[in-house]
Amino acid sequence: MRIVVASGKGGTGKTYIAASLAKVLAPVENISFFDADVEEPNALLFLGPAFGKADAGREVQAPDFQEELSVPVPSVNDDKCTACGKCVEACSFNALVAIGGHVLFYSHLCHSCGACFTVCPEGALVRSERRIGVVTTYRFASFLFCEGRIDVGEAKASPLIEDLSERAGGEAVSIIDSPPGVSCSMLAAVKKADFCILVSENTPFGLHDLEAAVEVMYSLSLPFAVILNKWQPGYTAPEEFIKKENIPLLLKIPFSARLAGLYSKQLLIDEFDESLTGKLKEAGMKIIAEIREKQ
Amino acid sequence: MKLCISSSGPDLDSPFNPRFGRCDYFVFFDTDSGKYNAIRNEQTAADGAGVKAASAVDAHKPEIVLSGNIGPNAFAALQAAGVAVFLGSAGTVKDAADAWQNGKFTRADAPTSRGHQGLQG
Repeated sequence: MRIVVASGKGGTGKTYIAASLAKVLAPVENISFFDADVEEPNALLFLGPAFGKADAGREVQAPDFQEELSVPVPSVNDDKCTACGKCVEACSFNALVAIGGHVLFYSHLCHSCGACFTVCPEGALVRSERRIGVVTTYRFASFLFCEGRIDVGEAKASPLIEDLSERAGGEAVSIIDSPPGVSCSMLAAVKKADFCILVSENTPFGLHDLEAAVEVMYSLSLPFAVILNKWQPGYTAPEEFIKKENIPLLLKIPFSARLAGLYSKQLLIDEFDESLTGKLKEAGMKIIAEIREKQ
Repeated sequence: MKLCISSSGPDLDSPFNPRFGRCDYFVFFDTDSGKYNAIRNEQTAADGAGVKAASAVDAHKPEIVLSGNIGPNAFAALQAAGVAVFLGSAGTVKDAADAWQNGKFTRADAPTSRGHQGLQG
């Protein structure tokens, strides 16, 4: 099952909460963690120390698997190509142009939709591949950790995020750390979710981006709930919005210097206090139970 | 000699537009006859504006393109089409043609930007 932690706004503590949730649930559930925030995958900074230390000799992280992820792209066989332009017409992304009696292909504009292969009457387009990133897997004693890392300068992350989402399906409880924002990358991460946790911060900025993220949830008909992070009394608009929309509020995490201190030392919420740890665990268990009920 | 000049309007006295992929019009100017015609640069694409523009320009078979900046995609396409690219600055389309004839434009042997520059303004 896929539980996706998303946010809309960056910097709300999405990764911190996703990693903390994985840690508090690991003793009671078969947990896998997928870092789909592929432009800045950094959940291992929390979960590496948290789980690596339990495995003798694993403090220095060496991955168990590393796989390159490539997407299919065409390459033009000039001996067969007549520059008829059918592939150019079929391409919605201007990745192909027929000019000077040749077809030119621009790999970085290609979305790998495959339309050009289908329409070429000469069989002049050969399937080739372009690497877009790397998927790295760590097997800790009680825990599977998998991260996607997009190559520098690569514009389209969705295929890499979809690959991670595919791996996250199945029996185990997969916690997926989504990229921030509400663009293609975030949608790729959440679209197969069994449940989404939206992490917001208790500020006008947090609320602004939470509203956008909620719109994504509605448009994809996904079950979801909110965690309000960095909560302090005084500003009530986010809670009013959540109440008005009838969205479950899972947890309010206090705005706390001590918590920020733990974060900076790569330590998770379970080091903060028993009450908050218990509430986070309880929220996670409730979500898992809800998903199992539906399955 | 048939020139293609990136422009903000469809006439010879329209402002010269220094962006190739994301200019508004291309004015084709025949230096021998003084005749000209223009096409609108259809900018429907978020990506690949330069590729599309180069393809549209090539359909009118100019020998030379005059612009201010050209991205890598458009440059590669025009190179494949055998269209020479000259870069410089000018006030109007006609000024650009005159400046080119007076040797004030420089032949480009590489793109001037990494692409997407036209989107900034």
